[in-house]
Formats: sequence, structure tokens, C-alpha cells
Amino acid sequence: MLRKTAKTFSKNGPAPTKKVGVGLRGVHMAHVRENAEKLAKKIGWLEVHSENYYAQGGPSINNLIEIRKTFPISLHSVGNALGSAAGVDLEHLRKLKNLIEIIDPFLVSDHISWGMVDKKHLNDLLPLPYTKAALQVITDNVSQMQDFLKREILVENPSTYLAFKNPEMDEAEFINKLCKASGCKLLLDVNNIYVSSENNSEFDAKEYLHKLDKKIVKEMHLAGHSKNEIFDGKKNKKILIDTHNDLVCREVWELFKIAAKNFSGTATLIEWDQDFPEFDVLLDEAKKAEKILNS
Amino acid sequence: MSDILKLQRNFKKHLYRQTDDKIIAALPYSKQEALERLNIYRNNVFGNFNSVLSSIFEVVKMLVGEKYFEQLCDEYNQKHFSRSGNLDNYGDAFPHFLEKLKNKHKLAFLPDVARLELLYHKAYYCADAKIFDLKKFQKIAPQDFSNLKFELHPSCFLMASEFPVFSIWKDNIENGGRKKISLNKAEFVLVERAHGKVEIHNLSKEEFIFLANLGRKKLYNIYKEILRQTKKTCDIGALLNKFISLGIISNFKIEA
Repeated sequence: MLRKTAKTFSKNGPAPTKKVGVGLRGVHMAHVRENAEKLAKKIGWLEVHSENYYAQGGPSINNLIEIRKTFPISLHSVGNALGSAAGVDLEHLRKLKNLIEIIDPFLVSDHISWGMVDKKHLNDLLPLPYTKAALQVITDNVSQMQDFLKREILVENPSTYLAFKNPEMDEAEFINKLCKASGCKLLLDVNNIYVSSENNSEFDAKEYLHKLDKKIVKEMHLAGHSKNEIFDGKKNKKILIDTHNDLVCREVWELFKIAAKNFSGTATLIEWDQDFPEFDVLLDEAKKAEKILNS
Repeated sequence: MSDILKLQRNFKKHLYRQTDDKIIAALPYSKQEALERLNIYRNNVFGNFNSVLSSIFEVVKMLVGEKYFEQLCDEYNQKHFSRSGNLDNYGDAFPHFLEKLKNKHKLAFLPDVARLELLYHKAYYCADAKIFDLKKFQKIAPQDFSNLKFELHPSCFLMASEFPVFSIWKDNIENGGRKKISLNKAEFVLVERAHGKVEIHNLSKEEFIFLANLGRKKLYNIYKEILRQTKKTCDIGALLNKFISLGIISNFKIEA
């Protein structure tokens, strides 16, 4: 049986009035700061990668503080390595706590992945086996993170390029159990479901969406991916890579329609992390997402 | 040791050394396919590390060429692990790493160029400071002047090099390294972000000694130090005025 932790959570920052937001990256920072009022009529909120704002000062954090005056902000981390058997890096969490105090975000999230072993960080979102032992590790770490921050966190379903032998449950079951045992919520990345389902034959995207507990989804992500190939010893196989460098593809929009019904009214984000287009392209994607959410 | 810890150690070992068969045995694929799938993660991990180094050490990369820089990164990655969930400090040991490789790259000034670029990177992330309080400063009683001590803006870093490190850096950034620069010249450099944007200044030896001693010594003792090292007298008031107006000096206190 999973160990559970009792929690008293602090109040989150103000929630957005519009449900769709956009991931804010350095390349668009000046544009967003200069046009904040105008952009606030089109999108409801912004999400940033927490680790980009752990500096003690300087233009990045000062710009974010300024933008926060107009937009609700979600802090999305990539470095807490919550699935690591070595436990949680408290020094890293302290930096996040400090940023939370400055920004007062309405959501705080990280990933269902690991990335640290023997105090050495790999700074990537590495895959977990879906076993009871892995579930216990991540439940303990998520609980520790929530206790430390004194707030609920969201964890994002991963995009995976491999599966492990002998899983004891599927990913949706793993997530349901993690949320139940730790009290955390799910950041449902619809593109990740599609990427993982294409890369792993046992994974059915639609079934996955229906298996998830309806009460746990508190945010959704939409993004693009890229296509590659691997050689399995006999032939080439298609593999999708979660690069966040393109428009959301048709198949992901289709899955999003199901997700929008299953988890109606959930805050949804357009993510773009490489080969950046003009900010207007992100706004167009946000508009599409909003239309589906409202249909 | 837990099974998860073992699995994660084997995974990491494979990413670094490409030799651990235990992780391949944990995957439901042919060896070839398992290697290819693991390789996606390896490319992500080391791609991230290399892109951090590449963005900090832009001039080092220009000086040694893209291909050799990548080799240097690969060697660095094997020797220096990331110690944090963010990569702001990942390049900290890179100048020292280049120092140790002096015989290989044959560019004696390369570690100092890397040091300068690292300071540029560090200055960007430093704390902010309030603007120098000129009104309060103008009210100081004459008898307290000899007891004044000053503080540099938190983003200030000083560097002395036996090479013309500033000239090399500037020529590469501005002209792609076309100028012929004589290496027989020491240079003194100040890196700072007092006004939001990181700036690098080429200092005179006198200015360097002045700033290097500012937080530790009183003005008269700094004057004596400059005289001792340069064998020349200097105008301390003019130096003070210059660096206050540039925002490099951000605060002061009167010490008994």
C-alpha cells in the first residue's frame, strides 16, 4: 500500500479568466512585455519554465515580475527530477519556493520522470518503469515537494521513447494512483499522449484519455513534435520526438477534442520551445484551442 | 539498494559510457532497437549540455572551430557532472578544463577568454542593486571622508590576464576575429550589468587596482596601493567620480 502524507496547502495566485494561455520563452519576452495589455485580451495566462528565473536579479526575472502585473502565471519546472530514487534536491526546491513567493503563480508543475542519480543531474525528462516501486518513489517525492512548498503541484504525463519490460500497470493507472496517493493533480499533455502512443505499441491514446480519473486533470498542454526514424535491426521504424517546434498536428487536435469534453473547463496551454515563430502564430493556435474548449 | 535506484544508475551509466548491457536487458526490444531508443535520450542529455556550453563560450567556439569545440564539450561532459536541476552553473569548470588541456589546443589565451565569457554569463544572473545615493553622498562631512568604504554593483567582476583578452573577445564578437592582435600585452577587464545589459570594459592598470581594492580598503590606502604597483600618482577623486557615474559603485559606508 502506498504511503500518504497529510497536507495543508497555501492559497494559489489568482486564476485566469480566459482558459487558454501560451508558454512564454525569452525570445518573446520583450514583445509580451511591450504589448501586455493588448495580448491580455486574447490569452488568459502565461506559463514559464521556473528554472529560467532562479537568478538573483537581472533582466529575465525583472521582465517576468513586470509581466505578472498583467497576466496570471503558471510555473512549470523541468528540474525537480521527481521520479529519482535518490530523492528530492532541496536546494533546487528552495529556489522554486523563492520564485513562487515573488510570482504568486496560480499553478506549479513538474514532470513524471527522473533525472538525478547519485547527486548527478542529467537535466532531462527520463522515463520511469510503471511498477509499484517506481510509484512509491515518485509519490514520496511529490509529497515531499508539496509539503515543502505548502501547495498542491501538478505533474505532467511524459512523452516516452521506450518502455520497460514487465510493467505492473499502464501509464494511466500509474498516474491515477500517484494523484490519489500524493494529492497532486495532472498536467495532461495531449501531444505527449500522442507521441508515446506512436512510439510504444501497447499504448492506446483514446483509451488512455478515458482511463484517467476525471477529477485529477487541472491543466492541459498542446504542442508540436518532430518525426524521426530508428533501426530495429531489420527495418526502419518511425519515432516521434517531443521537440515543441511545430504547429499542433491534426491527430493531437482530435485527441484534444476528446480531452476537452472529458476534462471540460481545464486551463490549456500552447507550448513552443524551439524554432520559434512570431508570437502571432502561438496566438492563432491558442484561438483554435479556445474554440474547441468552448464548443 | 532499491531496484529503481539500480535501474537509474544503469541508465545513467549507459548514457555516459554506452556499455551497460543491464539497461538493454530491461527493455523489450532487440539490442539494436534498444540502443537506438536509448540514443534519443543520450542525444537529448548531451545536446542540452553542449548547447549550454555553446551559448556561454561563444568566442571560444569561434576560436577553435565548431568541430573541435564539440569535441571539447564531449570531453568536458564526461569529466564534469551537472550538480543542479538547472544548468546555470554547468560551465563553471570549463575555463579550468581548458587550462588543463593547454598542450592540446595550443592557444595559451583560450582559458582566459573562457574565463571572461563565464564572467559575462555570471553577471547576467547576479542580483540587482539600488542606484548610488548621490544626495546622501554629498552630505558627508569632510572629517568622514577618510573613513569611506565603497561597494561595487553585485554584477561586477574583475579579471586580470597576461593576454589581451578583451581585445581578442571584442574582435571576435564584432569582426569574427579578423584583426591581428599581438599577444604580448596584459589586459585588465571589468564585467558588469549595472544598467541591465552586460558590458565589458577594458581597464587601465590603475583603474583595475582601484576597483579591486575598493571594497576592502579606504581611499588613501588605495591611492598608496596604486602608487606602489604603478609607480605613478593618480587622481582618486576622478576615478571615484567615473565609476559612480557609470553605476559600477553602488553604495558606500562610513567606517570608524
